[in-house]
Amino acid sequence: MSAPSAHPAGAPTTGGNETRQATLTVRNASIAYGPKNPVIVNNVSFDVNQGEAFILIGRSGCGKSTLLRALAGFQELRSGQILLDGKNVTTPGPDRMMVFQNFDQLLPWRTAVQNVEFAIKKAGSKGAASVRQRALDALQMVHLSAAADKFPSQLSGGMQQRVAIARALAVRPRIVLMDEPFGALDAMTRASLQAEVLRLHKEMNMTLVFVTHSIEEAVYLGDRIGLMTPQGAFDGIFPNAFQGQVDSPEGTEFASELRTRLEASAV
Amino acid sequence: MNKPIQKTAVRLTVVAVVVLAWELVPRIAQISPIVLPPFSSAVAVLWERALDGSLWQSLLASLSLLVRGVGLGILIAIVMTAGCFIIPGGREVLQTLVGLFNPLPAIAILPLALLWFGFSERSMILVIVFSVVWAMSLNAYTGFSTIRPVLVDVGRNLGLRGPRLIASIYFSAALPHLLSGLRIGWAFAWRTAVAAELVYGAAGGQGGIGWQIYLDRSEFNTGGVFAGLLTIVLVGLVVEYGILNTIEMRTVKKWGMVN
Ligand SMILES: Nc1ncnc2c1ncn2[C@@H]1O[C@H](COP(=O)(O)OP(=O)(O)OP(=O)(O)O)[C@@H](O)[C@H]1O
Ligand SMILES: [Mg+2]
Repeated sequence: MSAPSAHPAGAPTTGGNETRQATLTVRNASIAYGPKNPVIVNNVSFDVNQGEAFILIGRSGCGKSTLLRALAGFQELRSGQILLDGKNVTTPGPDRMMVFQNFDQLLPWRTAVQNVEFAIKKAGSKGAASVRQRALDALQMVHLSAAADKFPSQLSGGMQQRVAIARALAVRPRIVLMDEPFGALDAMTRASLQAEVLRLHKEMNMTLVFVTHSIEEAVYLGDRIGLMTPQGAFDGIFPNAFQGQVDSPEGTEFASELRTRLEASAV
Repeated sequence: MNKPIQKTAVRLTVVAVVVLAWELVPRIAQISPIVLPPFSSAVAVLWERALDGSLWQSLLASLSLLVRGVGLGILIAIVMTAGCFIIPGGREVLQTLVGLFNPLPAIAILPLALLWFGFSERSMILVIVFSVVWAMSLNAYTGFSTIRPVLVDVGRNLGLRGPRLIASIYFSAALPHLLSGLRIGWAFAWRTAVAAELVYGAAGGQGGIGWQIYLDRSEFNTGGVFAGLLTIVLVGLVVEYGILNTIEMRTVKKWGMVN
C-alpha cells in the first residue's frame, strides 16, 4: 500500500504559489474549552487558497467543529493565529458564512427568500440588484425558486439546507464554512446536495472549508483534505486528484488509503 | 367527524347547559330576583345598557385603562428582560426580581398606589402594570433562554450583537413565549382592573365595569351585577379567542413554531 504523500502541516502546500497570499491562514492554532481544560485542537496549521475546497476530516469528537467555529470567530484560540486575508480573526462576521448541520438553522418566522434577504441586509452586503432580486438569484442557484415563499417548517431537511447554502452565498463571503451540512440527510438527497456544492464551488470559485466524517464526501468535494487525529492534531494534508470522481477506480483506491490512514491514527 | 368540530360541539353544549340551568332554576325554585335573577333578566339589563350607551361608557373606561396598563407593562417587561440579557450578570438580577414580586398579587399594591397617587388613573395603571410585568418578564426570560443556540449563531455570524441581536433574533424566536406571557399577563390585568374598581370604586375619571357592579350591588340591582359579570366574561372571550388566538394563528402557528 502506498500511503498518500502528506505535506507537513503548516508548510506551503500549493507548490509554486508560495508568493500568493492565502485567503485563510491558520498558524499553530490550539483551542481549549476553558483555561483549565485540555486542548481539543492541538497546534494546527494550514492555508486555504482563493477558490479552494478544503476538507477537514476526522473521527467524531476530534475537534472538527471546534476548529471550524474558531474559523468563524465563535471560539477563542488558546494560542496561535487565524488570518483572513492577512487580518486577525477575532469575532464572527459575514465575510465567513457558516452553514450548520442542523436543519433548524433557518429563522422559522421568515420565508425562504426572507431568510436570504435578512442575511443580505444584516450583513450590509452591497450589490447592484435589489436585495429581493439578489435573494431570489441565490435561491435559483440552489434550484429553490419555487419554494421562495415557503416557511422553513414547510420545507424538507434537504430544502432547508439548500436555503442555508443560498443564504451563505448571497452575502458574498470571502469563505464559506460548512459543518457536516448533509450529515442528517438521506443518501440520495445528500448525493444531490454534494453535487450542488461541487458545482457552486467550481462555477463561483467559492472558497470552502467543509467538515465531514465521510471519506467519500471528502474525496468527492475536496481540493485538499486535512486529516485530524483524535487528539485534535493534523495527520497531514492531502491534495486530492479525484474531486468529483470518487467512484473511479483510482478515486476509490485513494479513499481507501485515506481510510486506512484515518483508522491507523485512531490508535 | 373531525376533532375540532367535536371540541366546539362539546363547548357549545356546556355553555348551553349552564345558560339553561341559570334560566330555569330561579324560575322553578322561585328564587327571589334579588338573590338570583334568571339569565334573561341579566341579558335584559345588559341590552338596556347597551342601548342607552352606559355599557359602552363603562367598557371603554375599563378597556382604556387596561390597554394602557398592559401596553406599558409589556414594554417595561421586554425592555427589562432584554437589558438583563445584554448586561453581564443581568439574568440573576431579573430572576431575583421576578422571584420577589411575582408572588405578590397586584391588587395588594393598590393601597400603596393610592397613597402615592391618590384616587387617580395613575394608581390604576400602576397596579395594572404591576400585574402584567412579572408574568411577562418570566415568560420573556424563558423565551430568551430557551432560544435555539444555532439561531443566535446565525445572527452573530452576520455580525449582530447586543441590542441588534436581541431585536432581530431573540425577540422573534421568543414570540411563542411572549404570547403566552401576554395571555397570562392580560388575564391578570383584567381581573386586577375589575377588582380594583370593585373594592375601591372609580379611581378618577369615569367608572368602569367594576365600578358599575359596585353601584349595582349597593342598589340591590342583582340583575345589574350579573350583567357586569357577563360583560367581564364576554370581554375575556373576545380577547382570548378573538384577539390572542388570531395573533397566534397568524404568527407562531403559521410559522410552525408551535402546533
Ligand atoms: N462547549 C463545549 N464545552 C466543552 N467541551 C466541548 C464543547 N464542545 C465540544 N466539546 C468537546 O470538544 C471535543 C471536540 O468536539 P467537536 O464538536 O469539535 O468534535 P467533532 O470533531 O466536530 O465531532 P463530530 O464529528 O461528532 O461532530 C469533544 O470531546 C467535545 O466533548
Ligand atoms: Mg462536529
